[in-house]
Amino acid sequence: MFNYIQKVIRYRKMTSSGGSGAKESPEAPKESSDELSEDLEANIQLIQGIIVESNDLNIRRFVIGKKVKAAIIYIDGLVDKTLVNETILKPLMYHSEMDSPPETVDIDYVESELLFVGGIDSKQKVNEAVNKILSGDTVFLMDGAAKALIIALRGWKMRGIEEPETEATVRGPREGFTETLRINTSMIRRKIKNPNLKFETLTVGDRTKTDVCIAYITDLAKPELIEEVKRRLNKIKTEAVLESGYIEQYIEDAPYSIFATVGNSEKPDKVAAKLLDGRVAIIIDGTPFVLTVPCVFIESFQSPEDYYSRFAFTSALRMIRFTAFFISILAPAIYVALSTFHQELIPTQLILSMAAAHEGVPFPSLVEATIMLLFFEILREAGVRLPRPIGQAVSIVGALVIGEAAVTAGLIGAPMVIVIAVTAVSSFTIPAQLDSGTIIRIVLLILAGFLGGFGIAIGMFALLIHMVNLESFGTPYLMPIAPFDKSGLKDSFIRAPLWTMLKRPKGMSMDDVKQKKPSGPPPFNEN
Amino acid sequence: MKLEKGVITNTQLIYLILSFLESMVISINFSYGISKQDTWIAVLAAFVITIPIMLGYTAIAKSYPGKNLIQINDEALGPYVGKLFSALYIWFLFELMIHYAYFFNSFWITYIMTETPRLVFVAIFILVSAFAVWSGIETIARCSVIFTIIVSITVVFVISLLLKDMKIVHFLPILDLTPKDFIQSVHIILTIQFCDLIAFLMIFPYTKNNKAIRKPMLLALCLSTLMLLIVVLVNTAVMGVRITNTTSVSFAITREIDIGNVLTRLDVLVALTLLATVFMKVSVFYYTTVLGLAQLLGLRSYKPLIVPIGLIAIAISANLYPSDMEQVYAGRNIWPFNAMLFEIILPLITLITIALRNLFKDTGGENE
Amino acid sequence: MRINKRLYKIAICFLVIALLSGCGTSRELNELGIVIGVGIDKEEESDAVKITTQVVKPGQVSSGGKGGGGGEEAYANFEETGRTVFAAIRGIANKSSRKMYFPHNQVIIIGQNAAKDGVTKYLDFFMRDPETRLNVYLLVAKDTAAEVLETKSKLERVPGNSISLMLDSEANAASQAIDIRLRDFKESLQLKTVASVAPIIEVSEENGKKTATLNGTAVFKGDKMVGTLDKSEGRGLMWVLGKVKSGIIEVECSNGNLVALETVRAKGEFSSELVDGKVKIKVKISEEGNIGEDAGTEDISTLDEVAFLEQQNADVIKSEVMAAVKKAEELDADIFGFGESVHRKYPKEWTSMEDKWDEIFPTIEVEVEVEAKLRLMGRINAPSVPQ
Repeated sequence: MFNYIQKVIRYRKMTSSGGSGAKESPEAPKESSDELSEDLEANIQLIQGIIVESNDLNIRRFVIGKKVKAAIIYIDGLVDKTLVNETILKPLMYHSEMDSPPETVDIDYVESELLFVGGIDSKQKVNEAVNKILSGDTVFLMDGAAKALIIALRGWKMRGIEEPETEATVRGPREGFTETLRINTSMIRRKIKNPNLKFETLTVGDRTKTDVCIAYITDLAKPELIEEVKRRLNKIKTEAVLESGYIEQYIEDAPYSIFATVGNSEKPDKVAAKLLDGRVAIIIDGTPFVLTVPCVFIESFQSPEDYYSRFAFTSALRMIRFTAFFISILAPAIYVALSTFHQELIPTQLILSMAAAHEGVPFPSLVEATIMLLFFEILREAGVRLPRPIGQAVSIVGALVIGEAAVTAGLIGAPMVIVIAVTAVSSFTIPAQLDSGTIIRIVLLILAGFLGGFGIAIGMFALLIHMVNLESFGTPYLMPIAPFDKSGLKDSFIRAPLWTMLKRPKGMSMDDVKQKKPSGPPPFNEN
Repeated sequence: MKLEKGVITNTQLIYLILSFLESMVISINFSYGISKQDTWIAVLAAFVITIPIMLGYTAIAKSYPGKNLIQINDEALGPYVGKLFSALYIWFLFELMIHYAYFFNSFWITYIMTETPRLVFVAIFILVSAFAVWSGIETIARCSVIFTIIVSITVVFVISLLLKDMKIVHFLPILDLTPKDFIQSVHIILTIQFCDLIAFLMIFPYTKNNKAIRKPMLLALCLSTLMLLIVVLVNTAVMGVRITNTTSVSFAITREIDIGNVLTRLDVLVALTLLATVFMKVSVFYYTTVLGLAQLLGLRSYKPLIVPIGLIAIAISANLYPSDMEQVYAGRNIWPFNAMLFEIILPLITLITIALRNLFKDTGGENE
Repeated sequence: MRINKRLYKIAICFLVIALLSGCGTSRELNELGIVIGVGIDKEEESDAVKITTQVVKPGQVSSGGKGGGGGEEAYANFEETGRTVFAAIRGIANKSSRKMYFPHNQVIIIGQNAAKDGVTKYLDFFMRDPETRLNVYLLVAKDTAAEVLETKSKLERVPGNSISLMLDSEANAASQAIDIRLRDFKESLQLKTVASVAPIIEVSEENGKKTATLNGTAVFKGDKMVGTLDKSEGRGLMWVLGKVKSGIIEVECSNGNLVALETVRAKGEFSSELVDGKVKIKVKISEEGNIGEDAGTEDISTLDEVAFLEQQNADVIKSEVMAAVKKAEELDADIFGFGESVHRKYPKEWTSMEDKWDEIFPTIEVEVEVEAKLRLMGRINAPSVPQ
């Protein structure tokens, strides 16, 4: 499997290096490793040489203590201007008014005594300074210092914390991640107040320089897993990372598979729960979707709400979800197989009604089913992209036209409409498998249309072999089922009471911390 | 040099053997016509005879831990005789694979899809099986867990639906057959159902704890015999005398399920379960064939052999017998003797050689 | 990795080939002629067999069908003769736009002539063909099977369906005609000494309309029909086989008035014994019933009266069984499977008896023991007359 990834990465490398010949234009940031000099103007020139002239680049020159020239450079809109004025410019420019100003002002003195700011770092390389400017930091340069102070005073307009639309819950926290990395990490930190929770930041994307943050709990996550995640992230060679999907596609175990082996969520509570299982989260700046690895199949059927509701009801829901999943991938295929190959299996009364409905329908069942599925997918796609009020209109028209008119006109049999409707509704119960489900459904439908039940069985076998073969960061994709894990089953087809789930999912966390810490029956059961 | 990197746990080995032996449910059809309502006794007798044979197999495996049949042959019998034995075994495994593929397709085109050409089924069947083999023993073992569970559920489900159709009198009179028929039936069950476990001598080295294979092997053998016994008992209790001239009993009885006109016509459910069991069987034989051949030819990977062996298997299997009548005749009269050579005589020679070698090598204090 | 690509290519080739060739075998629902009933008749003069298949017209039969019904029949009958059953069935293809499709067949009706000729040859197709099912009901027509399939049912739209529903409900209400499925018939055909039975269906005319009525049981020796049992003999057979589910028994109470007793549960079993080389059969029947109707004016719910009625009930059952035994012995047909029970119990002795069973059967001694119980009396105890 790793060969596969390496191959893909190699392929990417090849194409990117092949294409870069044309792209080697002057506007691309030069990968120079120039050191900063002691001359302020030279340094400013150096930076201006890298960052093209853009009117949001702000260079403010001023003088400290009437003798030392200095400058701050920042991008307008990415910094909190009030704070810049209050904490950098004010103390530095008032310096000469101080009671006993020192004779010489050097950069260390500025850093240690003059700046009223929490986050300060110093860099010697121009490139690093430029990157920081572009990320929203303010760079302070002064004459006679061969380094730049990087002052973290980022501040821009951002969306507030809202309830995520993709994962609505009835019970549970309403907050969702935002587009800002720091806010996201703070939301996780607020859930897990554990000293072992660790965030590590990398930069990915040659042009976009996107911050990518790995989060994990050091004594739960396997060191091999963390290493593997870092290794894969570091191997990414791409120009741009605009959303977590970019990262996901580069670090997947099986890029050609129809199943996603990287999970994503917009909900801090869900991500926190995964971290507590020993998983690793990857938070990407600029998107509210946080990735979690490893991701196994069964996670698609687990909702954070499952753990907030009572277990009996949740267990019933889980089984309904599994049933719905199988209906959504199998129903059209089984209907077509039954009505064109295995008519003997339909109860007599039913086959008479089905035959009556099919009387006069011009298409074979397979074509009928394919047309209906296609219409359904078109309808769904139309509804998703349109503004909500129009989207509703689309679905009403679609339902009326396809459901009602097609049957009345005798173009489509009524049972087929029912089957497709059931399939469609079922497919919405498992949003995480919506994409893979669509493909499986169509493939199985075609197999069923040509080979009947044998085709469905063979398709399912192949699917099973593929899924069993699949791994996500070293964890088998069908984890609690194959390979079989008894304790894992407590959180699969059913959801056992919380106090009976004493172990973390097998194969993810470190072996010695399998046991969840506070365990045992609920405290009121002691008698 | 290890051709297979996968490792399966001993629990998975149990499931693998179980799902491997579950296809007995169909191949037992050879015996019904001979031993009639006493087939269950023949099953028990065959089981008793199987145990020492299994102990022999595990003894061979245990004397060379971490080595499979091909390597054991080389070490125990020397390079020339060993290679000859290995070639014979590989041929036998290949034969089993194509026979099961043919056998199942006969069933399928008799009962389910009568008009489809045999080649189509064999081709697709072997193709998907090739996919499993390609994925390696780990995947096959993991699949076997799921298949075993599905098959067990189906068996319990079908049996509970047939409870009202069972008649105890169908077993009477007990042992109403000639000794020759009885022995023939036991022989068929022994060679066709049980002793093709010799294929697992190729798989034992890939178990996690390959010294403790005897227990999982015997446990799986007992469980699958139990299942076979239950199926045979149910079949006999439902079918009675009709069992003697029905071609696929386990399947035919599901056509008789009728619970209030609602739970009826469940054939395809059972047919698909049977498909799953045969699929496991063919995959295991396919896997051991290519693995053994790769080892014999000294290849670095068995994967290049999958496609050629598969193509040959498809070509042969689609035209294996001119007719089903001939296949039933062969299954009853020829195959058991053919299989006996590979399943009993050759391993016995190997075992004796190993024992003699141990005897001369050491002071004779150690055995096995 | 190169091999991986190659495998994919080969896989895709095979899939395409397989899919293309598999596609020819599918059949749409509206290409099927769903057969609900089959009639088998033997031509009077020749040896040819006449097959009648009753095919449903789905558009007419479905309740939800738009504009269904009208004056049109919901079925069509096709007839064809041939030297073999299969040839005749395939011959129907010359007359029908749809292929005959048998898995939903409900009844097979064998004409009198065919039944007397021997049924094995006619039924082999229905046991061998992969499409046909062994759960189908088997009946014998008093005259010809084609005629039975032409009758009109008062309630159902398709006669074949009506006959199978009739057999179902009859078994639960009267238990006078034995319901035999093809699989039971196959089993008794395969047992050497057991005589097969099948219910008889006849065509009766009411107000100029022909309807099908169950009446009696046909007895086969080997595969040839040799005689019939009437309704009470038929029930006698069913008592012994334990097949009675429900039924009405009319008895006289101590002062001679008629009382109808309803059977709710019945169990019948028999065992064989060899005494000095002679076969003795012990039949044991236990029955439970309720008082269903009292045609007189006396209170019959007293304990003495109940005991009397139970005795009467047992006597009626016994007489029905004995009548059946007598008829079977007359026909020399072992409809009960007494021989098989000897075979099971005395396999060694049986080898010598098997061939002589025809001579032994009429002479065997049958002992019937009936235990009848009354359980409930219904909503009233005494009849509604001034006391």
